Amino acid sequence: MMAKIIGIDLGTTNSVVAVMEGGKVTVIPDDEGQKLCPSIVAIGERKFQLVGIPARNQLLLNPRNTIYSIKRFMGRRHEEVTKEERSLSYEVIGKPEEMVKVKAGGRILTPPEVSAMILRTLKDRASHYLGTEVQKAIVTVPAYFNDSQRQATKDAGGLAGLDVVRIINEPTAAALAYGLDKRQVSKIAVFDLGGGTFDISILELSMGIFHVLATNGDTHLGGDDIDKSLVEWVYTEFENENGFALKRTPEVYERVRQEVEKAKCELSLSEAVDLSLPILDSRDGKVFSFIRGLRRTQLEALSRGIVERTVNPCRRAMDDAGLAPDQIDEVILVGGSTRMPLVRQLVKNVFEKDPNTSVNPDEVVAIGAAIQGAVLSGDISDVLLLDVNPLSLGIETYGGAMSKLIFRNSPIPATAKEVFTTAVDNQTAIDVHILQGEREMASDNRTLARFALSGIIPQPGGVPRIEVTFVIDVNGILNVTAKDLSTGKEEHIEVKPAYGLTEEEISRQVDESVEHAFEDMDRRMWVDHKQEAERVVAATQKTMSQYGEKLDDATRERIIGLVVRTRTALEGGDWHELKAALDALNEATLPLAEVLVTEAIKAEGSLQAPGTHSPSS
Amino acid sequence: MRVVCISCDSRESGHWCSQCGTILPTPENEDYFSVLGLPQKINVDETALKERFFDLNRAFHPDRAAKLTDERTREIALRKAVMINNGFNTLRDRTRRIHYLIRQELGEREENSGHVPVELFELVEEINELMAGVRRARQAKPQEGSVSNPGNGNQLADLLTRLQGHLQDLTARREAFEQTLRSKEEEWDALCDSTHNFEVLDVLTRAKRRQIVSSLAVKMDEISYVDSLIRRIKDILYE
Repeated sequence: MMAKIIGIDLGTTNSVVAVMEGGKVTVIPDDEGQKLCPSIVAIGERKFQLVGIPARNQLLLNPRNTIYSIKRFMGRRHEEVTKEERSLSYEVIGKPEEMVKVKAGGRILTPPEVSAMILRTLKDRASHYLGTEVQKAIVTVPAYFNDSQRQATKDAGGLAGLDVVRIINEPTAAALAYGLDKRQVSKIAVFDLGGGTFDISILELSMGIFHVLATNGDTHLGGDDIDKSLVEWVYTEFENENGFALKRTPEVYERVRQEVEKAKCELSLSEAVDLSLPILDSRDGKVFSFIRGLRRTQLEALSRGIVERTVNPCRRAMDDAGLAPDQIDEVILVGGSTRMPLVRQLVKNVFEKDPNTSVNPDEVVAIGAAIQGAVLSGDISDVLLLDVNPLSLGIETYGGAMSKLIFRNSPIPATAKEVFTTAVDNQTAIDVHILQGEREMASDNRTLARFALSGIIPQPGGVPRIEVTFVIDVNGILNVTAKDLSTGKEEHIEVKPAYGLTEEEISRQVDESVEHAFEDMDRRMWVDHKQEAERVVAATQKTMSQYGEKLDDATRERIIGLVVRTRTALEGGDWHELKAALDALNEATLPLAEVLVTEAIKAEGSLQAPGTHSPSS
Repeated sequence: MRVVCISCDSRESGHWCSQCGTILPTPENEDYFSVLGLPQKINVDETALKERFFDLNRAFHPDRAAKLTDERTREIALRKAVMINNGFNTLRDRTRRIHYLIRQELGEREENSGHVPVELFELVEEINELMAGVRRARQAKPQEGSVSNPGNGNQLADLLTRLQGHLQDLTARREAFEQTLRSKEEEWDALCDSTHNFEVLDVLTRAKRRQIVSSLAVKMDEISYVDSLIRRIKDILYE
């Protein structure tokens, strides 16, 4: 029997470790019996650090050296996380285009290093529990994590001395935890609203196979957003009450945040709570407190707008899966934020049924990861997970359009190959711009990486054949190769630069691909016709200079006139006009093509069927 | 397609060697229908497709292949798993399926959706004129406060009504194209039924296949042209 593979839910707020033994999953507690490990690390002098509950306990006293929510920075560049950075009590450093680093306790750390401290704690916890050193783990990530975020998660495992044998998506893991004993065919939706991210996945269960049909989500939506709006409410109310603004130091901000978060959780069970923040600020020797009752209805009014942002991703996922709400048999809730009655009501409205809440939403992901661990170690052989790629992948083609190679919701692992060519004569290098997203134009999608393939033999544009291959592995990590088919020269890249999806881009991408389909189409038609028109105008001018005098005056005039019209249309932006001009020009040059064919036949001195000559050659 | 078994060197076809049970490599250009063990028909049995997809994944998915001790066999299984996924993803969608068949039969070709279908020449010309007319009429709309031309609004309304009429006409034509496409599909499927799958075909059958697929390709292009024209008209109508 192979060694145990543990399952780890490395969360934004809390992390959990579980393992499968004798057909049952155990969520492993710490020495005190606590199952949740807060994803918090306190950094002290000289490698001294605290992880989990001890770190959380000293957060208020030591906010500048205590790191939380590090998951938001995994695999990201600094310029992508300015919004997250604002409400933190610790310092984020690095140039805008560099990978994020954090500073605490006089040390500079990367997010994978911080995550590794949490992973090591969980690894030790599991090793202690099992009585043998654990070496392999399954780690979960949000379904919408991109390649670079997945890679960073894998790296964190390595730093913690864990071989991350598989990255799986959190909602899929949750489905595993729920559906293990289900044998009949059913369709389930997993609604995962955590601290920082929202994922929705729709799966089909059939004879032990968990087949992901569609996935959608928002990497910047979660309970933390609700906390933030509550904190802002406190700041506003404080100012209204006392006539001056409450100071925004990390210490005060963090105290308020912890208090409102606690209140938010309590309001899932009771209708009203008391917020109590004594001695919050002082002015002219006088101290000011904030003591206030908060009702659930008030909380709901403040958070409704945030919670409702989950609706569109749900609808889109159902649409992609080709299912109506009444065809979904079960809705599973994952993540602490799904304890809110408001969220449950919304889920009920969208899916037209009461959600299933029988497994603890904080533990369900780790349980699923442990099941997948047992599948990979061979302990379970009747369960199989078939997951998909959440966003389309492709490259930029001449004119700025995105050519999709792997569509969203394609089962992984997968590959795709396409042959491209050069746009201009004697081009010796091409730029391979790798993109992720649903829009037609490259500039509207996310850049995953760029690389150049050089050393192409100078040839006329359109002649070289460059084969681009995408390989996406079972962890959702992408590899791209570009190969010059005539020389066999190859360039290769594993996509792991620091590109996360920024706030707007995430929901924008899929949203806009629907909204802007028409506008995109216009731009694309323009680009296509522009290329064609430039080619035809150039060819016409060349042929006219050689054979123009063989045409009658009227035809010649007409062609020249239409060349001018096409050129003018090229200056404008309306592809309809461009196409009209181009069509007219193509028609007008038919006599010219005849002349060309006749001349060619004369030149060759032999007879050939005119049809074998292309008029433009 | 026959391949050589890496373990016993016999020439075999399918996913496993019938002599020694070893997993057989899948040729890179193997037909997706054949990979998934389905007849090469356009009207795919979707339940069977999914069942085959699941069954093959049970055998070759990397999670299952993790148990294989021989690295070469594991690599073959991985390639197969990828092929199964790519095949499933292509065959589960009707449009992708038809485009795949066209590519298999005719090789890589430029999609030619920019060409006006012959029988639509006159209609398209009229529609283009009408759309240009609508654009002109809209641009010439009287500025607020200036003296208005009472004929202008009526003229625009008239153009839009005529355009609306043509849109209906076009939608009916599209339906007719779709009908032809369906009948070509039937023809293809019937031909598949009458021949053995993936066996060497006689010249006549091959010619017939090419002929049907060529007309499928033309119809797909025409439908795609009409769809984009319909979109443009709707853009103008509902601007």
